Amino acid sequence: MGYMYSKAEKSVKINDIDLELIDVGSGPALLYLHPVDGVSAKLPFIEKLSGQFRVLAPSHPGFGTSTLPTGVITPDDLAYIYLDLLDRLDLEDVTLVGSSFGGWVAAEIATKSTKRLARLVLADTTGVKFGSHLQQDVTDYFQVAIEGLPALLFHDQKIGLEAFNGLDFSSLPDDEVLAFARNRDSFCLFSYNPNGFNPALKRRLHRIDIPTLVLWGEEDKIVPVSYGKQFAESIPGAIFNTIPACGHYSHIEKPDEFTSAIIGFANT
Amino acid sequence: MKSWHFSEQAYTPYTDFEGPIRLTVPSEIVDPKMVLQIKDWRLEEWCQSDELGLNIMINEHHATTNTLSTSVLQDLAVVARATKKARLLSLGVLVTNRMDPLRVAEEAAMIDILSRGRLELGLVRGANWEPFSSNINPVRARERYEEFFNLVVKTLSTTDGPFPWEGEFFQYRSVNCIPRPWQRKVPMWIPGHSTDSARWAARNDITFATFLCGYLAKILFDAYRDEYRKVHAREAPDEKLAYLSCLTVAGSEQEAENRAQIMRPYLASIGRIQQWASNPPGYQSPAFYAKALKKSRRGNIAGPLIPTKDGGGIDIATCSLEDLRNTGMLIWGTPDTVLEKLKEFREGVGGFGHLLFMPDCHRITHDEIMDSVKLYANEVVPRFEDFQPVERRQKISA
Repeated sequence: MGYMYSKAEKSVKINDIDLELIDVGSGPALLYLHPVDGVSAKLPFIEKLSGQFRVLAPSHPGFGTSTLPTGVITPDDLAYIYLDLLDRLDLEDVTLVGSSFGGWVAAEIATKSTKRLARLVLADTTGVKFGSHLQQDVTDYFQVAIEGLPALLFHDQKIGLEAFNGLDFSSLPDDEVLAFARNRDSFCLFSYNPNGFNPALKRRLHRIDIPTLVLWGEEDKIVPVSYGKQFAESIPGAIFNTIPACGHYSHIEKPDEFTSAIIGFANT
Repeated sequence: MKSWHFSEQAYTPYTDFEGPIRLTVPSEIVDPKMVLQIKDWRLEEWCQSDELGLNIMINEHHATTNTLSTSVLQDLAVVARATKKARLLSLGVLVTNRMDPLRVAEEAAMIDILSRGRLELGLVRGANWEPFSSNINPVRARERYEEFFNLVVKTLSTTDGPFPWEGEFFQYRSVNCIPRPWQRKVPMWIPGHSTDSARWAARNDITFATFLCGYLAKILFDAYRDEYRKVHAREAPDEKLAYLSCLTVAGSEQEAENRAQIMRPYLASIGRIQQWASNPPGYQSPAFYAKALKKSRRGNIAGPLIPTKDGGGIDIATCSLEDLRNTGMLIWGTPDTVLEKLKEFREGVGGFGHLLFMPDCHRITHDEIMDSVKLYANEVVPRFEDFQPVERRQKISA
């Protein structure tokens, strides 16, 4: 039990932003970008990846304890902040991995510059509008009560409930509950309108010129497998793989499959 | 004390359905012919109030059966032509559902002309469920509201040609409102339920109204007076504060009680809302929300109890009719008892200059409303002159 976020030990200053940063393991650099619920060094997939990589996992501006200056309002803005982070830490040949909203930001980054990137992994990623104007491509997170989140984000209800501490907020540390509330606000700021996509991103995906793996939970209820396929088809040469019996949060629900897919891809 | 006759123009009482009354109700259950009937009744009631010397207040909401007004300014245009004396209060334009402040200012200016300068213009950020129908981001909606408000005020008061506006939320190369409003300065209002809103209103020297919140009004009015004193170096006049209550008057106590009984389901109906729509991101600070989450299992934030005079709280679903009138939620009685209850509540919250009263809750009939409002105007309002200024002994907290 517990929650998917816990406070990181380090922080880094990028321009006027204090960015909370997990920095664990050694080896080639891997930058992990998290979904709405944040990231924790205690999560098994971080531990597993840190056996192979130096894993850098920031909390986005406005998430966790990272500050959010006025004027940072889109995933596009976040992408430029992370390009600054890569410069600042002078990282090269980075494996960039993003889940859900974090994948959206990763795709934004890779359409702007891949100079410091070696590979891209997009897991259950949102951010692009593929379908008709009469349908929501991305299930609306904001029309679901908190009680519905485990079922929305996970295929296995038991794992989903555990990820939300059994929906018992009273026994979570104050800073984790505050992060839940703060992440929800910031996620809304970045993705409320349009609902979970940047209208400009689809026409930019062809610019991604590094090996890309698009990784999808077969039972994803936020963005279905068909959406993932379209994502992969929009990026030149991208590979599309799925994880069976897995929902939207593949990094939490299937940490073994998630990490071995990344490690396998990185070794090709 | 000024009185303003308000109606939500609800459809909900005229149909039977379970569940939320916001956002997801199929419009098929709302019969346009019945809507027209309700609009006719409410207009006739407002016209009577105009003749009786009362003022008129209208609001708007969206995607709900509880308010048959999706544009307060559209309704006010009709009422402006149908009435002669009443001040006309928009409380208000839902900023969350308006994309274009310049259009709002233009429409307001025209209503001010059509009514020969009777408009009072309230701008409302929007209830918790409104961002779902407007698609305006609920996060930073307050900052957007403030820019919207400032732009409307500047637009209505600028008469020497166009000005540019390049703000964070709104940009215009040329703002020029023709015709200008009838009044040189259109009185501005804001409703709210937080001390932050009250203090913002005080700083901007505009009228602050609060709705159906019992003795929370005292905390809000105290905050307003405190901020007003700090910023303007004088006492806030009562005319800057307003309170909204449901109200019914009858010839006998028994008849008034019967009417109150018919009206009270309105108060419970307000809470018929989806859990996910009740607390959108950005409407409470993360710190406030986190505290509520720690207290309530599964993140369900219960509706607050209505604060009473003695510092307790009542649940509007289960409390007595007596509790409802003692907390200024639903004031009922003969003219004598209504006067007494109003006086007690007004003094209890530290005084206010406007009573916004709602006489048409739930299934009370058109004839009963006409009768109740007539009694109120003829037998209660003239006796407000007996009200003494409220002595404020309570220490104001910072």
